[in-house]
Amino acid sequence: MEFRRQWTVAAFFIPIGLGALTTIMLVPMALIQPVYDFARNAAQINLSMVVPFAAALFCGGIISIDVKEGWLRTLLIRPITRQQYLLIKLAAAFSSVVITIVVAGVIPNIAVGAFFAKGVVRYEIGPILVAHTLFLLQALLIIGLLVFFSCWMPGIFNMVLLAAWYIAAASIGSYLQSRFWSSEWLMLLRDFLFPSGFTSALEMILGNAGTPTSELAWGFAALGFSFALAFWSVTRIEVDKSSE
Amino acid sequence: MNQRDLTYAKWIGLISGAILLFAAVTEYWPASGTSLNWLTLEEARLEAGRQEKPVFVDVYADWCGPCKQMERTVFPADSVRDLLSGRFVLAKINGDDPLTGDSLKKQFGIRAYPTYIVLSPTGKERKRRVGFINKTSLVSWLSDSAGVRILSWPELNNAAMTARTLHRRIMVLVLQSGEDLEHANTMFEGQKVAEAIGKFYVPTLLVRGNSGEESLLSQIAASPRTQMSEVIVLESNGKEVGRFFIDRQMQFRSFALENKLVELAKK
Repeated sequence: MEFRRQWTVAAFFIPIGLGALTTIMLVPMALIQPVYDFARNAAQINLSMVVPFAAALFCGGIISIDVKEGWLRTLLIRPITRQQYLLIKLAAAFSSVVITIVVAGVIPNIAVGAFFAKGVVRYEIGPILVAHTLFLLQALLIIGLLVFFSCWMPGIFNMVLLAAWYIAAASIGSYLQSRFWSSEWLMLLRDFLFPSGFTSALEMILGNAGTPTSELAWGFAALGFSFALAFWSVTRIEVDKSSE
Repeated sequence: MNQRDLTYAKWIGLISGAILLFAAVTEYWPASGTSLNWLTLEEARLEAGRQEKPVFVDVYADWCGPCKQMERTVFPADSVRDLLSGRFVLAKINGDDPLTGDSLKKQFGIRAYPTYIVLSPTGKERKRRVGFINKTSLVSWLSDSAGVRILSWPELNNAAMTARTLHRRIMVLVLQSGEDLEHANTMFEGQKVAEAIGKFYVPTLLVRGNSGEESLLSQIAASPRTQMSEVIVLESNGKEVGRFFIDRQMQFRSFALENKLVELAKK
């Protein structure tokens, strides 16, 4: 039911619109790349566009809308806990994002590779599986963060907050790198300013740059923290006390 | 039914904290293995000739922050260390060395630290990057075997012989340093420019700083060092037909470069 509630008429345009955008981005790449690498191109379009946009559009107001419309109160009258409610919301949001990744990321990538690539087309199953597993983990992480934000603020603020965090982390990281390169602690802190562990891990794997142990650990830690914050926040939401 | 139960949040938070600590520890203490065997440039050139391996040159300065950061965080990483020690002979140049620094900086046209240069086993520059590079980018850059097409152009002597056989002119592209290689490659790989070269010329490439190429540069009377790349067109017997610098217009509008090449071909 939660899944069905997400797929409003407007929501159908999200994967279709994103799919059109990714196709527009992929075609010039296919025309100039000597090797059309499915996994690398998937990483480029999914991590930079599909995953964050799909997660933001489906999950920006995922909890706040339920609170505003009184749906959460209606649900809590029934014998379900807030934790169960949260898990159902997470599962529904994740399913929607997965469908968007397939429609807007995977299908255009295969189609452009098949019809437009001028060079050699490379479909290597290992990197493709790794890349898509990491997209899904990154999607879960962003969903977790947006659920957390959404317990406290309305949807549009959550998207702005996530974007502002990303930009601030990049700016502060560059500043620390240029001014405090000699401080080992600040350089360590710089690597943890934004939860980009899965993204860095994927870059390392596709670039054959070794085993991304600390990057994966950072990704899983951030994922865990986002879920922990989401579980904590959902218990803080005030609804009509007689309903629970 | 406890609606305020925080058991999930507490446990997930605790486990995540432990994983975060592990991530910080592994990031802070990179792999500790055998250190890289850095040689002087001369030693490295000899060794490269013997082993037929390319040379990876690190041009650094003692006061340079990014150089120290590379030394501390990038070079010790397993992937970087394995690649460097397995595929390259390694050389370090201290740009501030009172004895050799200035001449080597001049030879390679060093403008900033750190500069990383890959030389072929015969000492010709193949690639160059300036500034801090993270380990993923460094490995990708060093592993990239797609290559730079202009590097496959024949050497001047061979180009002259081919030009005589094919009754074509020789197009000599003079680059001021290896830093210009990739940009020049993009310009000369353009379809129209490549067609013009294929139709009228036998191309060859000279890079300032490459061993043995300074004498060839003076032989063809290349202009003194500037910021710009130069194209010199010669008859197959070595007589100059014309020359031009690749200006900004040519860099961004390939037809300007193509027109100039066609003009000199028909001169």
